[in-house]
Amino acid sequence: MIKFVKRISFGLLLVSGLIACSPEGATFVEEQDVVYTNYNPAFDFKSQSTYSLPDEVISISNGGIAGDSEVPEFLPPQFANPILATLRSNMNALGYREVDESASPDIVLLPSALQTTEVYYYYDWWYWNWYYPGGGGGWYYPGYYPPTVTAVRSGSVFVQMTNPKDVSGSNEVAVNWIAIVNGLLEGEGNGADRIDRTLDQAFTQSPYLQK
Amino acid sequence: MKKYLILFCLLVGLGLTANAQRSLYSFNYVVTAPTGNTADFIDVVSGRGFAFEYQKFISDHIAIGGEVGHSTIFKRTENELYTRETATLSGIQYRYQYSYPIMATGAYYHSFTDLIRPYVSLGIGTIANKRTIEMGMYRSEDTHWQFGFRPEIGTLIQPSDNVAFRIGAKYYGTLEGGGLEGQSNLSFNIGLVILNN
Repeated sequence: MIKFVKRISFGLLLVSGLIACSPEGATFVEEQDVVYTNYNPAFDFKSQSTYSLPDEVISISNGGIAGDSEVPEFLPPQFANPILATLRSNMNALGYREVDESASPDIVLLPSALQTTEVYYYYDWWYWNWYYPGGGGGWYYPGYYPPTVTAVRSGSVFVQMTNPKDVSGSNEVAVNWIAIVNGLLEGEGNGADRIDRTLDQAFTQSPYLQK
Repeated sequence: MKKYLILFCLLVGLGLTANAQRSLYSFNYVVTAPTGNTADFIDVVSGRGFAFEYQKFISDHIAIGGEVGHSTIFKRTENELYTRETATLSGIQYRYQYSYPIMATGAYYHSFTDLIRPYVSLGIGTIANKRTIEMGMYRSEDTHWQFGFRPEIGTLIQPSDNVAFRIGAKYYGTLEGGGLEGQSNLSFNIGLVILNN
């Protein structure tokens, strides 16, 4: 009898061990949404007044190699339109005024969708060559370091806030604010709602953008 | 797989019970209530834990031995911001703290009757606290080895010579070390005790 109890109790110990090792985690894809922002602390956002926003969200499938065509692949409108609308409403609410890219804006917003599992902070200039006012040849991130991320979920949205009047000697455009929403375009359900909520959060957690 | 697991349990059980004299084994289910700095990180009571104790009686009332255990506490947090220099991160966060106490113990058993045997106990040793934070694609994991102690009060309920039940309350505390401030929790134990007389 005693031996039987001993044996049972060891079994119970192992079972309870297994229970202890397996707590719950994220169940739904939107529970893994993470909003990352970073900025150039030396840049005076308050003194900027105008911005421009493209009509498209580019789709980055490979950050390093330029394509053969004039323009890159664009995100379908059902995803691109809510992204652009949310960026526009937040910029307007902060006190910036939208102008055409030909009207010498202080700030140019560049939204992209990463169809990759890597964030390409220095993706090829060719992706924006069709739009960017004044031209350039690449990117630099003054005063801060973009995060080192080994793997992201495909479908992340990456927004760069650039200053077309600040181009380095090596023809790189200054990026003064970045936002990355991880995996935003992944999963099912109400995509527009998730886009609204997470991109709004990118602005909410960046109070220094307020004019 | 299940068959092998049972076989493994039996072999382990037979091995550990050989040559024991006036000693006890205790298998405890553990409920953990975080306190202090631990509660600042995770303030949720958890029933994910167990402890194994062995004690050998060196006199009628005093036993010395050891304890190993494992407990997991877990919390899901929302709408929290994490800022480091100019970078800010937000999202749903999953926090885990896994604790592994490894301790030498000493206990004093006071036999009121054969049925109820209250005791006090003290354990001293180390507790490995592994903290994990998961946030979307980001994950951090650090294990902190700390000096730990745990006083305990409780009682054995012993309906027979060889089998008893344990009800006890422990306070686990650690000193700051290993890159983590001191941790603490209250732990409630219900266990099965095997006595070798």
